[in-house]
Amino acid sequence: MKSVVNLTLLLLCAVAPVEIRAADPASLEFFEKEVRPVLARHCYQCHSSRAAQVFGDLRLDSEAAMLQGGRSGPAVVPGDPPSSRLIQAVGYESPQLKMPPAGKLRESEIEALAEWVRLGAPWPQDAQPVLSPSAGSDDSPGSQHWAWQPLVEPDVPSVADTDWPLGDIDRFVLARLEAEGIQQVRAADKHTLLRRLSLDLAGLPPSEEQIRRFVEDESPLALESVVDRLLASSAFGELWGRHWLDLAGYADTLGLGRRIPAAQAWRYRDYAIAAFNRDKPYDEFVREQVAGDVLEFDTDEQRRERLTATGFLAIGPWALVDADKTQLEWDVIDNQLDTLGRAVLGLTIGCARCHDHKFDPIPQREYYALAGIFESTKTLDARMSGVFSGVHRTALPESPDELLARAEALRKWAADSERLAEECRVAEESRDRLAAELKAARASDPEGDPPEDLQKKHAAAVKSAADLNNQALQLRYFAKPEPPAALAMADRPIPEDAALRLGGDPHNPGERVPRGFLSLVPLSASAKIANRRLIGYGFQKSSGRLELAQWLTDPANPLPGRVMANRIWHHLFGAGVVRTVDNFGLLGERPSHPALLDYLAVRFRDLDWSVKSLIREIVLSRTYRLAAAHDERAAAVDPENRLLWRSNRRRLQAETIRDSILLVSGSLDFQAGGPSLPLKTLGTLQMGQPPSLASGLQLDDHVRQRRTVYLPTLRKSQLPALDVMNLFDFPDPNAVKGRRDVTTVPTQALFLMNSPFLIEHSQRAARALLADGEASDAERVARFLLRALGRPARADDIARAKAFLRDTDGVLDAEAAWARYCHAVFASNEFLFRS
Amino acid sequence: MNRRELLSKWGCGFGMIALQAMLADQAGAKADPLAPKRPHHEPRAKRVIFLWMQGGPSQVDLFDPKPLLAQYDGKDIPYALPSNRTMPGVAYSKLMGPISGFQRAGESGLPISDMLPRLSRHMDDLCILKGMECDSEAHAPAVRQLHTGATQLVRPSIGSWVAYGLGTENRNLPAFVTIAPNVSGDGGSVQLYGNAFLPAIYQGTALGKSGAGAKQATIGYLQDDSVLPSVQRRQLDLLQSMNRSHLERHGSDNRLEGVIESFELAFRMQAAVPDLVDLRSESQATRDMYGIGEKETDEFGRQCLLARRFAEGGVRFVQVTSNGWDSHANIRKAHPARCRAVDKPIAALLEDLKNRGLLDDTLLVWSGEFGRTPHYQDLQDGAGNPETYGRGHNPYGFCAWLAGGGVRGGMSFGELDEFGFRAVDDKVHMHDLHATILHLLGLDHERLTYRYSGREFRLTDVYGRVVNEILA
Repeated sequence: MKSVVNLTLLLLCAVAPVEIRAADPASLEFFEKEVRPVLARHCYQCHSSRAAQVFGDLRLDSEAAMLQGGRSGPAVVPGDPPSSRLIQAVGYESPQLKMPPAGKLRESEIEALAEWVRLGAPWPQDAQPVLSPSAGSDDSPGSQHWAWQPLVEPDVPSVADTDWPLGDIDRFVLARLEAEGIQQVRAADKHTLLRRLSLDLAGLPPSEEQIRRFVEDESPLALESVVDRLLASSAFGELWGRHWLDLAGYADTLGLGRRIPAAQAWRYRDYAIAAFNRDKPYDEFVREQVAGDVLEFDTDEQRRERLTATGFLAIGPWALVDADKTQLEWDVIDNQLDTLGRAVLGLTIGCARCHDHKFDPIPQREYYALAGIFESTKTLDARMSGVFSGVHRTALPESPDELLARAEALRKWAADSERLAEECRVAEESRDRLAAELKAARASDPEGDPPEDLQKKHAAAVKSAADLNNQALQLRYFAKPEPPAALAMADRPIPEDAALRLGGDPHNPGERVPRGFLSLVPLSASAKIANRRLIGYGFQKSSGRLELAQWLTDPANPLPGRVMANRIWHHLFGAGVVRTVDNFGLLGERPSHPALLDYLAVRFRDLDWSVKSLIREIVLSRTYRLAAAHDERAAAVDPENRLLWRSNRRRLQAETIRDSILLVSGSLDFQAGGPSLPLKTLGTLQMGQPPSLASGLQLDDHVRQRRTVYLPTLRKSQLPALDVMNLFDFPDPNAVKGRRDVTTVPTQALFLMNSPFLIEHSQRAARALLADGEASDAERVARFLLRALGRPARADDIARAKAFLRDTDGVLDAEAAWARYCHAVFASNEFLFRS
Repeated sequence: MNRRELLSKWGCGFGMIALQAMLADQAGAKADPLAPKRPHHEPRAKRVIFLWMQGGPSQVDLFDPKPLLAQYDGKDIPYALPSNRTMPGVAYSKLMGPISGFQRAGESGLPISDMLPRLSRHMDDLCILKGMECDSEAHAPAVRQLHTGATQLVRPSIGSWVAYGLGTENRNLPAFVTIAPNVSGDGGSVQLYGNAFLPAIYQGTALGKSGAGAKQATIGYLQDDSVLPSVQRRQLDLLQSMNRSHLERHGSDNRLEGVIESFELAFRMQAAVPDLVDLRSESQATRDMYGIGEKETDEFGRQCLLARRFAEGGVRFVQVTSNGWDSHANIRKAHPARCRAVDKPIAALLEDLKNRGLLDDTLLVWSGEFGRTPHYQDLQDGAGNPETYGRGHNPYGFCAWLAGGGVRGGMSFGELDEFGFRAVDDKVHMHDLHATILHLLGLDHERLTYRYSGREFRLTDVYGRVVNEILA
């Protein structure tokens, strides 16, 4: 009888929600906002299709299941909260039925559930997420946004002053200036221009010899030969590779909260530097980083490169210790999509994790279409030790020479291990002997203290045995010559589509979404067909990253070219044509020169994606050569210099500050590449945990004076030895940062005034100046300013220096006085800024 | 010229009128991101001292005695443990009764552990939140949530949000100071006082770091001992003369002027801060009250006294950190030792603030990143001596307390289940705690937003409830 009543009720009421659902989107919204999260958080662990064991046969993750109920009957009676077992249970009304068992819900949560039942328990049509109104339809404002319109070569505008432009870039810039009636300032002088080029292309100031040669070279090709020299120097990749690393989340440690050494991460850093130095075509560069492990290869060398390239998305701020591995997996995927989106496409894809993107036409479904590709990709390995996960590693092909070298190293390692084991044994014996003696002494005289020297000897033996044991462990775990490996992604054996996560909650899966790409990106008709074929076949046997890589670099995809050309412009001018370099979406800034940006993107494509060639064209423009001078009239019209009536003066980035000081003081070590984390920085081993870097980490001698890009980057607790980075806006390695902050805070001034680094290198510079005993003070000032500021000294420089030397005479000796002088120059705006 | 002469010559003494005038001039020159700002509503507190108990103190041993827990000591765990989480050694765990006795203290009669005898005299000032919850049982995410609201992502520290919302009362000092921060232990990181996407001026200024000791706690590169102040001033004059000549040659440039100003400010800070961090200027009685000079309390006593000095000096948000509450083992020894280290300093801080009339508008916040389990943890997997047992991490229910500006003292709010494992009633999530702290400072957590990457961000993300029940 009872079941009949229930059934009738159910039939009666089951109709009502349909009407409410159709009539009342507000109640559905109420469900999504207030009810579903409560169910997901507190109930689904035991009562959903995802539960390991469905308790009481009751599932609360679909309308049918909830109305049908479990062993004890329907969970809800729509419209009637008091009769609904769900409401009774969460109300803790009966001692036999208290849910969730772990603790009563908040009153607000209980009230929300009751209100929802009162509304008729409306449930949305099965988890079909609503497509955003802007997606798919061609007339919505989102689809008309400039950034994802097809790339078309723009007409070059005509200009009144036909003498000034050297090329089309200048014409695009000049046309805007003429339209606004702004007169651009004069060209920079030769010294300024050379320093600018050297800092922008190599991250280092020019040497005296380079300055002399350029100033004396009056041929029309003088500038071109300087640009070609700089582009060919290995310093170029060390700067521009670092620009890329700002996007990649690169660091030498794993784990967001710990300092687990990423012993192989440096290979990715070196890959990025080499890619820029060898001018790897940008489309290939992107393909390798997304799918290098599944791309074909001709040589072992290429295979190594391509495997290493996938470190782009394999190395990141992973919370390896997170015990909730489902959460961890989805946080990794989210970070990968976010990084890929911002770095390559200028899109904030991550915004569509929990709901359709609020502004750009990226539906949540498409987020999960992409997410399926990365869910089918192995980035982390299962637990390494305890609750820690590890980043996936792939062995790299080893050359015969490397193999021989490793065999030799292995022999040495085995010998060392044996020697150390013997030393341990001896030390332990001695320790145990002394312990026994100590025990005997205590036994013979329980009242008195054992002899002091015996106690001391014993303590020393204990320490020595412990030290040796630790050394042995270090040798065993960290020093064994391993075959080369890279932190790299790999396809999972059985690829599958991802289930959409409702509200972005990893524990709240909805329907599965077929893998695919973003629909906002236009593709050519032929590419579409090829793409569909690829998706059809490719996705069955692979994750789809190969297809993703091809989609990204499809010639009809306008975003990668626009985004990268804009990044190049940003690094050369201090502001992108689009200043929000990582966001080309509707909330990004509009381009100051839309046609110029398209021109650059087309050129970039026509130059076969050669970064060096595009840089060369830009820096040889007349626009790039303008002085950083001020002009009242122009500033009144265009205070932010968006129209490029002058060059932007910019503070040097942290690495360039440090590298320049090292170079000018004669200390820079040009040694390139290789690991930045030496062995001795590793801390002690604790079982059940991965190795962790010791605190109070010191820079190893072999890297101390290298270029900053080769020093370790830590995800947390940056090295005190690298405070210059912390203070001068080195970006957080846990986030994509294509445009660094430029802050001015007094702690920077304190560093410049008082840090041992500045003091040491000022002294070195002074000693070098004083080494030539014949030189006059004026000659020394001139020599130093040429080195540090890239220009000859003026009379006021000489007078200022002489006055300082005079005032400190008697208080400081000559070397100290010159050191203080050099120090002031290092701390000066002219040194710290590029004009 | 020695430093004293320099101080008088350059007007760098803390709080000097000349300096204030100079700073006022500076502030007037252009929009100053640190200038005091008007809060959203009438504030109850002007500043916060945040006492972080790193590692997670045990709620059932300190503030919330559970008779049933004592009664069922050694019995099987009666409550369900979350299944999608793992914790080492839990298979061998049984319930473990409180490790200390409790007494009821003050007129309010709130219970407090015998391990905190001095703090017990201030029970009527404390508001104990007994139903705290957070979202992670691992240190790093929970620590990040305590400091930034988010478990995984890089978000601004609460101190940075406060500095952004309120500016500073003293332009001669940073708005957000963290004393001897934990930057390398479990979950410790520079992110904890980082500004993330907020302008860098709002980042916390660290005084020393944990491990180096509060004795060494000062701002990085504050002084160069190898040079006479007079010589350094002459050097700074040389530098500024070069900078001005450079600026004149190139016409107007705000950033170049900004750097010139930052050097002058730095030079003044380098004169003012050493005095502020020099605790010798405090009376012996005060130093004794904080336990400075006593082995167990010296470190945290110094931190607390520094916190009072910075709070008094107009710093908006001061953080101090007591490390070592993560008692997975030997909790019977470790927790009493931690209590001895903080009991006297915290009691002194409350007393000192009160005597100076500062407690009314200074909010004290005491919390771990989570609490500890009522069941024990035996790291030797069932083979350990009960004396070596500890307690595991517990984000499902724990205690924190507030005191001072705008909160009701002598009350507790919220409830854990009868064994002290889960919050069951009047829960206060970490987001709610943050919303409440901002509310007391006059800031609406839903309106204190910053636009970044295309959307508005908040400390409390889309969560947070002001716990009105505890407001005075």
